[in-house]
Amino acid sequence: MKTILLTLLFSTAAFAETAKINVQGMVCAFCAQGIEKKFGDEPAVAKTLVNLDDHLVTLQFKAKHQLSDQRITEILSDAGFTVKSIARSEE
Amino acid sequence: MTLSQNKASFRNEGMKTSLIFLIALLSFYRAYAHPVTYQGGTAYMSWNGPMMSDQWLSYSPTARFALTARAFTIRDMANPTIQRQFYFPQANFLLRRWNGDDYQGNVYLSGAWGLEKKDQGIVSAGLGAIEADWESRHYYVSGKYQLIGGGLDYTRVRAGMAPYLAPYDGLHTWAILQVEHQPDYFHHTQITPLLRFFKNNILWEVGSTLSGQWMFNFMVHF
Repeated sequence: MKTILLTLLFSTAAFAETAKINVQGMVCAFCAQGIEKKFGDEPAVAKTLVNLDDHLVTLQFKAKHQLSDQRITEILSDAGFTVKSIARSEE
Repeated sequence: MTLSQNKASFRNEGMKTSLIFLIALLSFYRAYAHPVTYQGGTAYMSWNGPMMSDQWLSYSPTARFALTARAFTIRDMANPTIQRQFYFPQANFLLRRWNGDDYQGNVYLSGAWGLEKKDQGIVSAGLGAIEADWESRHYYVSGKYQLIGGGLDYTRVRAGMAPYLAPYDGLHTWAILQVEHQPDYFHHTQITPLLRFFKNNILWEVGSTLSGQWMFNFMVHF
């Protein structure tokens, strides 16, 4: 029983959630610096990756942390962009 | 004149007319880089040349509004000792933004009431400006019209292209053509080819007018 519980505990901790956000208006790397800055201020976010070619912002959350779709949309709106879609996965 | 010479002459005249029309069309607008950054962002922007110096320190409390402390100097091209110096607290508003999959377009409005430093003392001065820009990853156009009280108007348009697409954190390069018009101090339309570079949160531009006057601009936001 203890073994099963320990396995479940470690398996949960090993996976952190990722959000892939399709963003509109993100055509200038200089202007998109605000995205990294604003998500960097969020305690839940471990890493922010910006891909201008694919119009994607990928957020890697810290273990057992995440941001709601509403909060993600709010942050990107404050950065000057529009959210088209958000897809979540565990990695 | 032979038929081929006639055709070449007609084509050259047509191209000249088209270019003048394009410049005239775009000359209604003039634009800087964005007068409003992201919410909570601070920016220092500096435009420099023998005829004009413009320094901005801006803070954007929201994504649609920024406050700027601005120092603007314009000099007479024929006699650079003749100049006007202005100091403004300026408000900048993002009136409208269009965010598309592959583009962004913006319209800004700015207003200010400040001071002009003259030889005989300091007088009050007002400013109004409207700007618009559109950009994709490959192309960029911008325009701005600015009027300072006392009839000092200034128009600038830019058109640019990126010769290559850099990764997000790489060194980005743009080739830009700038056209400026200020009848009282510039005396004739100034055309400046320039190069823009930016990496991360730092941007700089270097160029020279067709009459050989240098230009250096610098921007950082944090």
